[in-house]
Amino acid sequence: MEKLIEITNMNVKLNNRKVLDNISLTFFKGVSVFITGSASSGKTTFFREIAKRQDRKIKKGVILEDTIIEPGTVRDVLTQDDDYNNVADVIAFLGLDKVWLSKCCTLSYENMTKLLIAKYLIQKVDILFIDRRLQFLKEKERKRIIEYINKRQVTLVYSSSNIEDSLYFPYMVVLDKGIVAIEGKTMQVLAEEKLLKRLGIGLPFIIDLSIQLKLYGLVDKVYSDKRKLGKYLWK
Amino acid sequence: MEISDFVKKNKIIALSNFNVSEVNAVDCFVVRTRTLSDNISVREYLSKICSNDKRLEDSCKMVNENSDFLNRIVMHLSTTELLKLFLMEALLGKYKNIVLVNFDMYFMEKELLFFKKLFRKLVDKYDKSIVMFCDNVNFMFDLVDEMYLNTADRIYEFDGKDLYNKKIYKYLDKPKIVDFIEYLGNNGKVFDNYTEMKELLKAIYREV
Repeated sequence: MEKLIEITNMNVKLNNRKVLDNISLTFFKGVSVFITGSASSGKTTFFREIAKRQDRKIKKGVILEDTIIEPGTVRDVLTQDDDYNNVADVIAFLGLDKVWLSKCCTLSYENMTKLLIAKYLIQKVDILFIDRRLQFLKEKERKRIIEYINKRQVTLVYSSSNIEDSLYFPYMVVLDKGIVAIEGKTMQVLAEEKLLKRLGIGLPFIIDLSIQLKLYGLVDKVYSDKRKLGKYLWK
Repeated sequence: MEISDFVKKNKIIALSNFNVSEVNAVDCFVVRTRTLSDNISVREYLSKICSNDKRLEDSCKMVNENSDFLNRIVMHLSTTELLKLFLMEALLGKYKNIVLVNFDMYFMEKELLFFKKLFRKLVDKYDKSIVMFCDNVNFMFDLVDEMYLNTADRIYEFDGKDLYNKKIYKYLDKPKIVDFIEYLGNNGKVFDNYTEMKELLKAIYREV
């Protein structure tokens, strides 16, 4: 698997307090990652450090919670690229045609998020880091955008406190007090119910329900899909 | 639109599907994320409204922090710590009306349970009124007294006990338990409108 970004021993100290403590993570092409953790676990600090890095061999996009574009209109920002076909598809998908001539400074938070995503997709970044922003979109829209980013062969690294979103990602990292508490394939991480509970992390509803049903002997394994779970229960 | 249109004395009111920037918040304290660049401690930051050590320590406890929090440097606080700081500011400043903007988006489920109890306490025992911009039905359930849902044609009003409501799901994300029960119902397995997983589990056990 092609390595895009390899982070070794990332340390951040603020006012003699360790915010990130020896974080080592590798991001691979085509393997999107969900990052979560309880309050003050270091998620935002991690993304800010990623934004500061110089990664010359790859094209990287970072959208932080407070990232905005101020000057110009949506059209100004997105038509710097002369491949209009590439631009048109992204604009239509993200609904930015509705605000095409709007000034960036007048955009809602949701539309600003979509503009930033569009900008990086048009630039054809290899990897895109998004800190929390998709949480402000409805679930259907969020899922749609995550799938679209993946379809465009951009590795997405997304941080959120909404554990339900973990199911859209093949790989998951849980931060706790500035360290990587657990990482791995999402279903394997979510199977560590006791550890996650200790870290203050809940489980996605369907996973939690499956685990409880498995304890009752009603299902054979943990399901992440309601249809498969329903089908098994009443087979 | 003014926030005062929605404030109700000693009640928790939710505003869902609203554009925050279109609601004018006056005579209230707004708790929302924003960065602070002050290189001062939390204690110094709050000293403009309170310098009483006991009150400062009590306000730390109220937001689930210990007194060490008062020595933390404001510009180094995490997003969630900043929200707690602003909440402390609201409490110490003795504001009657508090507005919470997307507060539920920043904390995990377990942490939100703590804040649900706190918000209820502020309203029931500390004579506060709360308005929250929130689209999370799970968070609002068992917390809000009333919910106003903004749609293209009008603003609907719902009782806090009636949030598991099909009208609401046209505009807000359905809670997962509701979604699953609906899915089972569409496939011939009808269950009651449970809101607790334990109850649904028992019902499935009886049925299977």
